[in-house]
Amino acid sequence: MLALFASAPILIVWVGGDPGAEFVLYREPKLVAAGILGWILLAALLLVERRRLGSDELGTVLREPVVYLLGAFVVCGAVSLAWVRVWQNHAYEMGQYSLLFPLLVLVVAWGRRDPLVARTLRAALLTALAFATLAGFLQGAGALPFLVPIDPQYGVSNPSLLGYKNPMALALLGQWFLLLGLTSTSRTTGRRIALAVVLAAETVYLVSLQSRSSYLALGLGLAAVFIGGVLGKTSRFTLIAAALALVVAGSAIAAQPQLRQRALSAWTHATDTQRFLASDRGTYLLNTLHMVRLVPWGVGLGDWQTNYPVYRKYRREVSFTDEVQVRRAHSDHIQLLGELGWLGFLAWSAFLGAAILTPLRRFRVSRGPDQLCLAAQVIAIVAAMATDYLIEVPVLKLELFLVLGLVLLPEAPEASQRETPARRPLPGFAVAVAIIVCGVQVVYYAGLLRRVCTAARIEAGYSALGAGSDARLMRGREARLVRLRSDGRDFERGWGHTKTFFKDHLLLSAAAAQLGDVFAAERHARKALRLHPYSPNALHWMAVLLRSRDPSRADEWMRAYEHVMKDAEDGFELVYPGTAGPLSR
Amino acid sequence: MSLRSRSSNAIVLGILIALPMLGAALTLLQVF
Repeated sequence: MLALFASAPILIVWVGGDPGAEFVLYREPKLVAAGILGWILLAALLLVERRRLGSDELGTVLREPVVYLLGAFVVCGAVSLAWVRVWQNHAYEMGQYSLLFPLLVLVVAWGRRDPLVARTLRAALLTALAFATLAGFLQGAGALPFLVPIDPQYGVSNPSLLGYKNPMALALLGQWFLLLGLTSTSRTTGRRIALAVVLAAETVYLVSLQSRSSYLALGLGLAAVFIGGVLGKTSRFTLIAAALALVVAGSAIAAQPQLRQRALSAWTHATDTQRFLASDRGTYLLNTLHMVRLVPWGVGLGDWQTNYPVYRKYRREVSFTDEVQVRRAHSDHIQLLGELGWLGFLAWSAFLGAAILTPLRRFRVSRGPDQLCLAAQVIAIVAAMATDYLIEVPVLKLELFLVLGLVLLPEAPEASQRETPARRPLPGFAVAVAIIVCGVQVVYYAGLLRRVCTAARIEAGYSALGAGSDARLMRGREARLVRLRSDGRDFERGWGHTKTFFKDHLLLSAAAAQLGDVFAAERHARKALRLHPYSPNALHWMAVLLRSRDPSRADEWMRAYEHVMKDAEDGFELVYPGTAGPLSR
Repeated sequence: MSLRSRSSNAIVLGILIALPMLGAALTLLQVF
């Protein structure tokens, strides 16, 4: 069960749409898989290990700095529900933390009695990513024609089991140092060679994905290995393996002009502050700082995307036009600062510091390369989070928690304790609660997957509408619109939330308007606005919809749209209920 | 058993039960 849960990163789902519109869903199925497998694992663990895992055992884990600081961060997130604007975005994130945090505590407590837990966890994670690497190579060679990139505009030069290139690169990076550690501690030469081959393949694949954040993070992690290795006099093999990896990465970059350019760009952005501040990430940083200056307690967990449009004080037009609006700060640290304010950010930073120091401290005692690699792993993840989004992507959040599990599990658990019963076993009601919650969550995630597939069909159906004038094309168009309407009904009946569902409501609204159903069009537009109140597209579309029926209200929506696009920078209050006007400033 | 250890264990249990309950409550809100 644990192994299955830890290999959730490689799960994908096919959705058949219109002819010629076959989809591969790379993102949400992994969230669903981790959700369902994780909840079942949690309930099963409580049921089976209840007599051995008492509150004392769990308490010991919870008193670890990494765990209680992470807990403080999660509690800060939970509290922000009180003032978050779009509570569904909060629920989306909280739903994940409410599983991952308790599960981390339970699995670590379990693994302290049973050495097999840490080994299974590590093996499952490494195998999953090795498999993803293999699939990536096959996909690149065109051997898996059914695996297409989720958005064809990115081109097939970035094939992966995680969709777009960056999540794949970051997922590889998120376990690369664990693999390095395992390679240098494995006992037999044959195993070492096999693991080294996988490591080399992953290195080549990683640099071929052209993610600048992972270049920098890989470099920083390797620097940590070299510095720690030389100062701590660890095994020479680790240093040689790391140096060889550097050579492999370096020569792969040097051989390809495109990769060379990306690496150079990463270097200039990292070393030139002015250049960085003028970039998209620098702009999000400045505007987020402006956001927390006005809202020091943060805008609420998961809700950066809602609020960013009305806090754009600096370079408003960067990644924010009628066509494209940025939804993430492209840095987890910055985004969390905006969402949870200074207090949450303090807990977050302290947690990350503790997560780096814990394996480093063990390394100072043991000099074992595995602990050094574990520390380098956390350093690399923290570095990547500075310029890219990891925990925004559910599967990378899961990976971070898996790595944390390995950080918290000691090298050699006391197997003798394995069968001793707990002094104070968990009360029966705790197990009962877990089982009920597990049932609720499994049903929820199954529904979410259904809804996500419907959304994929809606997006395919809408983009296949096209524009045409001859009769045959028009008939096909009509049929597609009708199909969209029925998909729309499914979508409305379903449950579950992802941060992009507002877009699907907008598409459904546009499709309904084309069928002449103004009421359905307005209903969908309002739903989109409830999920993304400051979306310029939604505000503008409301104005368009109401133009002929209610010109004065249409004007108000248009003013709201213009305000968000042109001058809102200190927050902005909107009131929507179709009754009163939309504006109250 | 000391009072301190008893109360810290109560906090442990409290967090481990409250967090999933919060998650489930938010989930139920979405389903209905």
